[in-house]
Amino acid sequence: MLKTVDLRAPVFLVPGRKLHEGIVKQRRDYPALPGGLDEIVANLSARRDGVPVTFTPWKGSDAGFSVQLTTYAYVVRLGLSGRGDAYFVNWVAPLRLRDHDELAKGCLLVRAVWRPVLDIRQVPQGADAGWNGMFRAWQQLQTELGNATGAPQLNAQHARFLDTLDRLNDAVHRLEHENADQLPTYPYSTVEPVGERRYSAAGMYRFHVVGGVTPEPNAFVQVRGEVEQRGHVTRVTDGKVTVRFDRPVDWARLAQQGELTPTMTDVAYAKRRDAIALLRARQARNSSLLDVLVDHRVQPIDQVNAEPGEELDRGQLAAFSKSLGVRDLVIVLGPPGTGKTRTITQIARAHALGAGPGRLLVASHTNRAVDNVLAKLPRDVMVVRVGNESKIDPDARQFLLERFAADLRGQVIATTADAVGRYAGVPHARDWHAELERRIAKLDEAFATEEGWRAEWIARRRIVGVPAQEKAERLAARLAELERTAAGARSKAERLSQRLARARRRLPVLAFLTDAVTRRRQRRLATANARLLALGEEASTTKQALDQAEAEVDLATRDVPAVRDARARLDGAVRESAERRKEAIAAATAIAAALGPVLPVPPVDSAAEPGAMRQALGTLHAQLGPHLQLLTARRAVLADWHEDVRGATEQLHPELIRYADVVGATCIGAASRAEIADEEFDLTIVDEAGQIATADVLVPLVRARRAVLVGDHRQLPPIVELEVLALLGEAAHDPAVQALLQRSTLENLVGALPASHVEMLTQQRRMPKVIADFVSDTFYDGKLRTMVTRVHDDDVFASPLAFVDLSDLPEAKRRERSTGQGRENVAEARLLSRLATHYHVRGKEWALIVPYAAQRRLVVSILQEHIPDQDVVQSGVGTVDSFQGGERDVILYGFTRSNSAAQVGFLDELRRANVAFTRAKQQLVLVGDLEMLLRARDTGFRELMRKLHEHLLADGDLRRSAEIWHGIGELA
Amino acid sequence: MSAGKDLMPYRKERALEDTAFGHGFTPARLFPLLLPVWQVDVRATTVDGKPYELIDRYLERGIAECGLGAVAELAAFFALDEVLVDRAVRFLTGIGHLTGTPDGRLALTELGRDSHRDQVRYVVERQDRRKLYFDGYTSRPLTRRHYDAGVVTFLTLAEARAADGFRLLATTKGFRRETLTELSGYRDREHYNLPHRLDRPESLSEECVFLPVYVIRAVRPGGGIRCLTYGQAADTADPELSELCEQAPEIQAALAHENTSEEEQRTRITNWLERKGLTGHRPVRFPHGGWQVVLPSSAFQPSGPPLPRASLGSFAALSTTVVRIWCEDKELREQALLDRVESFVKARRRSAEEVAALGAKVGRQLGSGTIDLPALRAMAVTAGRDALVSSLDSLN
Repeated sequence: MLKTVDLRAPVFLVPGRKLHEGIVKQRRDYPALPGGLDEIVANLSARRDGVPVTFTPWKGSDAGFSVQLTTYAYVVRLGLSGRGDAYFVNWVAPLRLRDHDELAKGCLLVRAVWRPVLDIRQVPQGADAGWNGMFRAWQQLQTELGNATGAPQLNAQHARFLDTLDRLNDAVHRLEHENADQLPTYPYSTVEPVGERRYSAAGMYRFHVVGGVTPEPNAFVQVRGEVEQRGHVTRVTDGKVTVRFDRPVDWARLAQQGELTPTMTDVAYAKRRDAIALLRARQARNSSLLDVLVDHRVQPIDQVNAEPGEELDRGQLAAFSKSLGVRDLVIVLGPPGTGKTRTITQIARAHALGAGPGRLLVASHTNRAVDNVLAKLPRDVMVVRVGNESKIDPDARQFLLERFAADLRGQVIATTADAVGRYAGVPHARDWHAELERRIAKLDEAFATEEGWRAEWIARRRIVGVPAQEKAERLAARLAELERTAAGARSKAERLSQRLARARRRLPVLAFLTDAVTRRRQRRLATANARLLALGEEASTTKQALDQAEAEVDLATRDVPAVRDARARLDGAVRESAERRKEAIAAATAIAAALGPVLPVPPVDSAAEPGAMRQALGTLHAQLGPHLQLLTARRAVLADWHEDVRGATEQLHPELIRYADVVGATCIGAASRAEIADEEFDLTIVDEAGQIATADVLVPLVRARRAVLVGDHRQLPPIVELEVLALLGEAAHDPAVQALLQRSTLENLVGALPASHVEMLTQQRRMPKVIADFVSDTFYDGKLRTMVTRVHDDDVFASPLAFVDLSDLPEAKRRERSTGQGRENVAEARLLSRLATHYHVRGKEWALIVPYAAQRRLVVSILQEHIPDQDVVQSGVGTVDSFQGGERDVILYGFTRSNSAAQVGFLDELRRANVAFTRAKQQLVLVGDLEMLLRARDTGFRELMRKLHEHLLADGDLRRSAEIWHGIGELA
Repeated sequence: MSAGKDLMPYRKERALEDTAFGHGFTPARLFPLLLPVWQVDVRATTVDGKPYELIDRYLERGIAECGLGAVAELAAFFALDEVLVDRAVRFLTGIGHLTGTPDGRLALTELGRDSHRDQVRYVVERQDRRKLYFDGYTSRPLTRRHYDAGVVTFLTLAEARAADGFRLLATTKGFRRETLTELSGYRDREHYNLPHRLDRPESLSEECVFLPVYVIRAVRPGGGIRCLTYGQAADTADPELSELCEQAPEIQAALAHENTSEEEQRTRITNWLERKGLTGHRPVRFPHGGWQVVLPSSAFQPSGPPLPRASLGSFAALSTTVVRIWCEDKELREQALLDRVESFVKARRRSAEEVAALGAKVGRQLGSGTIDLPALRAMAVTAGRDALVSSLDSLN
């Protein structure tokens, strides 16, 4: 910071006592130092912009400060004279970087006339060193600097928030790296190319893995030692692992034997870090994001005139309007079955079709959640999905950028190839057009020659002086006059005829007004027709007379040599004209044929009278000129287009993104995919935001001007690795850290933001009322209302809410067991599998949900023996996390836990139960050791089971396992 | 001076290697500095020219050259979906290229016609606000590479003061406002990140911010001092910033005066060696001010302590003191050379030219002279580095 001080009076500088000695000593090492006071003054004066001046506390002066002046090469220290009329130059030192450092922090820029004097006594009376003015300015500068420093870029809370996020992100990243070292590797003996369907140039190969251990589908792997050969597993069958690489992989560079190793990508870490950095730099597109997230300050919501394309209930409509009118961030809470996807699609549609000024980004933590929304968007919305081909839901794959571009390219190439073919005749037509012009010119010449010889022939006949000649000429003149008159009369009759036809089409109501006119016109038409008839008769008579006269003249003159000669020449000219006409017609026909596929060209009547034909040819030629110009341009553009589109598919990507109304991507994908990395959005809708921790949700939030978080904080929260908490040590207990790590942004904001910015959907249309009422009471403070009627139709259970109690089994049978890979419960797995088979056979859409991965594996292994379609088994059985957002007719849920200590482990996260129970559209069957569950150690869980038990007794169907086995029987 | 690694995206040694083996100068000192820069908030009417993409170019050609004037006509002609064409037309209308005629047809505006004529997609931004950066001494615009916000950070004074290990450079020159009007005369507009046209620019505010740089004081082969300057944007010397640092007298003087005593520098180096467990090695000072220490082969390991093999032939920057690390063992130096080449080709796909350039540079660095690809391959064969040989064989 600079502060300029202009000193009007000259400033007198007097050499201090030790100045000369000091200079001499220092100049040995620093030759750039001045030789004496005169040089100092010269160097100070050379700084036209002013001399940088700072003040330093100094006891050696009465003023308590010394003054430093800086030239381009050295620093001069001054002390104020006792009278305040001059400065002693006490010391000179070379300019160093630390001096720069001090000056950069703030200095005065003093403009003055510097005067050297050898002795203090030579300073004129009344001189003023300008100390007071400079010192005041210096103090003022210090105050301003203090204020500036005290006003940091971010307020302390915002900075703390971002610091915590950075710390968490680093911890997660560190942990991922540590874990990666302990992962197994997969040696392979051979590798082969595969023919899987793909839409990009990314490489895909199948590895024959040896040793029996294979990576899981969707795992990220790389060829050992080859960081570029990185991708993810798309398929695992019989030890053969298909890997889709992130980029093209040259077969020749792929080691034929080697090792696949699990890989981890730093992308998520980097993108979270970038998002935090953007917020820190105040460059986030959503400029008030920190105000919302940290201070919970929001801006009012604007009124928007937009209508949904489908009927929405009251809550959905409110969410719709708020989402379109929000300026910063709004939350839509969507408990199960309340139609949040429907609401999102309507927001997206309205935004796309005009309510929003830019593009919309639909993001979520999982690909499934993103695709779920995209697949339901209407056709008139242009959607582009950015992501990994193999992870995208089949319903949304049509929107995948690579596929969209490939399909578009294919469609354009195929269609324009035909179109280019249709324009192939245009150059030919242009050639013929020029030829037509030449032929018309020749035809004109032939016409002129013909007319010349005709005139000559007539003239020579006249010379012969046959009496009939005069008669013939008179008759010819009369005939011409008659034809002219007839032509006029004919057009008049046509006009009258048209008027009459028009009058007949008018409304009958006007008939009385027009009758008189019509009758008059009819009379006039009749007169005109009669006149035409008369003219025709006279012309016919005249023609006969003329022919007769001509015959007489001909007879009298044809043997006259001069006439005979002229006649012969005339006949030749007539033949020539006919020939030229034929040629011109041929040219016109060729043009019509060449342009046929792109422009209909009217034919020229070859039987027409020569003059009329000539006129038609001329008109055609003139009209075709501009048409041909346009067609030539179109042909060239189309050919270029066809050629350019054949280039790389990727060239279409930027525009498809640019023109898209809606872009879908996962949170991290929203920043990591190069195609959209630099794009900005007007609005982002983050779905299933209840599952997304702050560091992740920031990635899409910083990209869009405003945001809608949609989700349900009463369902699954973000997943946190316990090791991360361990890594954080003490900090993990900090409530601020926990809020950012273990809770979603959505959860943090519900209750913190004003009610105007949080809209809850409350009308559910998925579950039968008995299930929904239990869920509503237990998880949603009784706010959920059921707006659907489900007719109960089940041959095993009497109520849509059923519980099969395993506590009738002996302890040894019903207890869980701990395997190396987690917890499993055999009795429960058998019963669940039996029920799944039961519903499968009856064609029900079912899902079997268990909390533990080991239990899932056990259930899958039992079911695989009874349900041949492995895809059905794999997709039908899952842990809670994999079913969030989904729904099925029948949901079978097993608690797995059964132990004497009544420990329920992570079932104490009650939201897990909420997710599992609320997937059912018709029937929910819970299976577990009810006796133990009711006395669970965890208070929250015990309370949940108590309420469930009450509901079961009141409206549900509580059964013992033996009854069910008896009812549906063992499997064959 | 450890904080440097946070502000700069690469290590000091990389810059020193560029000075020594990219430019052939001998580095003497390295100064982490914060260069004053004017960050000017400029308001102007700008016309930026960007290359057309594919669809926008052809839609405008269709309108300009083919007499097409409706979304449906364009869609049919180019075999595109009408929704796509509609959005593209909306976009082109939005940027002022298209307009509707009274008879409801689409037509190019003057801007659209200019764009079509020059085949450059011009975009007019009225009341455009953008931050432009000018050096703090001459008010010359910074080049485009400094506008990459992902890499380059401009520090406020408060942040600069808190930047550990970096010294601030001071300027007393205010921002020359005439510079803004002079910008329209710049021909190499891309280079300076300037829009195609900049009309009536006005400065709304000017703030002095600081750009982190390494300034390396080095000696040219024929004598003479150079000050190569390395910004955050790249680990190669920035020509404009180097010129600035070499010509601003106040910078020149300050750098010339930063002469830590020989003894102090020697102590700094020997302390560093001792911390690495390398005692009894005496650094030697070159007449130009740089240092070198010759270590036995036992001091270098492929990785890990005392010194990684990768440091052989390179430098260590200890505060502002620069010391070159050397070993007389030729075989070890060749191993180090092959290490460098191997890690280079493995990091990502490289072209033969890139590998040859690296081989030449590292060859100079490790005293093997300029090495071409065949020589490199022969060296790898002799050393039994089969993986490297096969990588070299598969280049291009």
